[in-house]
Amino acid sequence: MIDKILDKLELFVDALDYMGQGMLVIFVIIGVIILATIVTNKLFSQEKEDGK
Amino acid sequence: MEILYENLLKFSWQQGVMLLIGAVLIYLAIKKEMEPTLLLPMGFGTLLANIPASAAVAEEGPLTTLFNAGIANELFPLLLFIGIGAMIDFGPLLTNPKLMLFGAAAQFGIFFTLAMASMFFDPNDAASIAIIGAADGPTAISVSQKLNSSYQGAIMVAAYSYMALVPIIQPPVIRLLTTKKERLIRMPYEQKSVSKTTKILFPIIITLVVSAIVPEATSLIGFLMFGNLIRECGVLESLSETAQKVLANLVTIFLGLTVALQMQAEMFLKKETLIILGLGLIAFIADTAGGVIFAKVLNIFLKKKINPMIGAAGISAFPMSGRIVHKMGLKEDPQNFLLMHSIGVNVSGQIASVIAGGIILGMFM
Repeated sequence: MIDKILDKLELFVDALDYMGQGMLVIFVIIGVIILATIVTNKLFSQEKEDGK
Repeated sequence: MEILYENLLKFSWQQGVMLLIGAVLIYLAIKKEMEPTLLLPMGFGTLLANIPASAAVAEEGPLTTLFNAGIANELFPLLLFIGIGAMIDFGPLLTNPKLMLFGAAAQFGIFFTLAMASMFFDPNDAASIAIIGAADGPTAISVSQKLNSSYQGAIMVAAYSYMALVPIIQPPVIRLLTTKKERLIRMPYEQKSVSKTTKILFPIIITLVVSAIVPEATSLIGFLMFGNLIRECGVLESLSETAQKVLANLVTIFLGLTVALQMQAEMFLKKETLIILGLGLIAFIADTAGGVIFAKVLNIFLKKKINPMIGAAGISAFPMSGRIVHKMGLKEDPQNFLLMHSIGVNVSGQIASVIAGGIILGMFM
């Protein structure tokens, strides 16, 4: 019984690696999108569009 | 005379239970108005799928044909995403792009549930169950289908039921993780306009960035953003309206009915189904907690504090989650209007959940 619980805990701990990688990749991608959006906002602001 | 009772004698108690489940889904859809667009077709499809020797689920029956035509190849979820993309206004997000961080944080529940599910299921099934935390039907269907999960029916029921239960699941979690003082933090909204060019470029940029890094997400993010581009380009009004209404409604009918193919008694009534329903709830709770705690951590470093409740809106249940956070803010302080912030975070959750789906596919395919 205790062996089974320990086996399951080991599986949980192994899967934490996926958690770390997954969250890191999401934040990196979102970070890139945020930067791209800020740059786009600056380049194509509403004032510039109205000025045209 | 045998023809009158021959088939009735083939009824098993398991099919009886499934007919009851189908009836409950229909009741929840109609009487309680819980996600009726999906729960009603799923409920009725469950009835069709659990009649003994039902022609609807025979080898060339209509549900089987629709399943092969639209779910086995992930087509229906992708077509639905065009409609969803056409419905989304990214304006509140584009005025404050940093809100996307909360959308990212609120996907924590997916990966936490992956770790939990790994204790009970093999990797592909664990990953498919974890994607319930995306709180997004098309992503959940697409990922579980691609990973060949044996538990699609349970995953769909969990995903859509919990999406409908967000108004019940989220508030207690938010209250548990925040203090009264934090819930009272005001976030005045500064009206900023976003140019049409930015709104047109945004879906294109998202598609290119996400697809380049996570190519497995190309279909999901591409179809979602295509729908949004149809909306924002300004020259395709009729296509946008068709995508938002006719296409979305049509595909929803097919999707709901067809997913019920996985709701046959022998596929659904297993002890694993109860575990999956439990893990699905954990996913939604962990999503909410992830977003709120991230906001609280950010507040340690920020001079201008954020109301941590908006972190909870990063779950992809749009627009329900955004409205719930706004209502909770008003309840604490009738002058605190969090709607534009919470809706901005909510739409970012839609993007982040698709990215998370692509990451899961990349890890397990």
